[in-house]
Amino acid sequence: MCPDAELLSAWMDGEVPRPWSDRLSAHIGSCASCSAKVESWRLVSAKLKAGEPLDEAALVARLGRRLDASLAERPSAEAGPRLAKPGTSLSPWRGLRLQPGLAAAAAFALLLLGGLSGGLLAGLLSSGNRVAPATIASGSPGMETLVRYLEAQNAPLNITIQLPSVGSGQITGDPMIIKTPPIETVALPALGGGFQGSAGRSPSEPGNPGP
Amino acid sequence: MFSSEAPPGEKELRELYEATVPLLVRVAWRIAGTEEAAEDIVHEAFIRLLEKRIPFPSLDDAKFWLIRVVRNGALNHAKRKGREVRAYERWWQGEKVAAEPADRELLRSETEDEMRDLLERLPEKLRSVLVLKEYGEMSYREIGRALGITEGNVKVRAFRAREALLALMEEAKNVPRR
Repeated sequence: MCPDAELLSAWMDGEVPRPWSDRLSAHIGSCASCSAKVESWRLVSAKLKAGEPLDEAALVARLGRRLDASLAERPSAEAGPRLAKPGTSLSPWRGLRLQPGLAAAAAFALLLLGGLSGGLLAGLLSSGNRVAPATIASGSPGMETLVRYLEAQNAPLNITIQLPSVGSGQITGDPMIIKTPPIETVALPALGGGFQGSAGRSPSEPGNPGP
Repeated sequence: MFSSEAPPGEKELRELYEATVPLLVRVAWRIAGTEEAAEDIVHEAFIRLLEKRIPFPSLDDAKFWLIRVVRNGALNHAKRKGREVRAYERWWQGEKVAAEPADRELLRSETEDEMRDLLERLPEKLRSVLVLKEYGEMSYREIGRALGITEGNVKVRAFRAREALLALMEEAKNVPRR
């Protein structure tokens, strides 16, 4: 009996341990149907890898120089990925888990990356120019200051709220939105009603699909 | 690379860089198609790693994060480029009067582009596994960690991806491309 095709594919990838791999090799050597299967996958693999060879060393070297240049531009001395200390929360949203009272007590470093022209990454990619992060608050600005600052902004912002790496405060609660958009007084146009003449619709009937 | 009086954290970055960059470059280049694009994509991934400051439990986790980001970036690039190339080809087919000489160079690059095109048509779940296997030369265990799936799942998807790609290749051979 022929082995499962999945197993043959795994065998081709060197993922079948001994002694099963030896038995499979023997079987494939003597079975036309199984060896044809493996051959067809090898063809797929060869086709995928066809073409010009990559000058990997040159590319890696170029990348190294470019990263060096990018790192030299970095304002922060703390480069590198952050490795979490044992026992700390590993959620990527950790920095966003804020409760107003406690958060105000924590020391903030608020980096505002100008939301101009598509943001930081787009800027980096298109021209190599980086949008300089503006640190508007450090130390303990308090929640009031932050909220007031946010309310004064009219453009989209990328905000990084960075908690101290050696934390003394306890972080609890769920993420919450601290600034709500101004309440719209113009109702959305009703479905099928077009975009004309809907401005006068009362905002007290949202979602009302018109007559 | 990287200056010797590196600030704290750069040691990790250097380690991570050396452990992952050849793999990332291969994956990005194979999917995106040009060295230039591969360089941009891998560079962007490292910059994002620095900007986002995600706490990683270990360097391995950072490595798998990078692999995910590069894979996504390269796939997006290939998609965009594929659309541009197809639009150009439609125009070219209209303009062209005489048949092209069967240039080896041309044939080879067509195969490459065609494979990229077919790969793009695979469902994302299958494509990712195959790309990391064939281009990244990663083990099932590593692929599982990079994609957040079990080794058994990697095995199944590698097999299905091969079968699906084979079917697409057959189809492309028999049916004239529109």
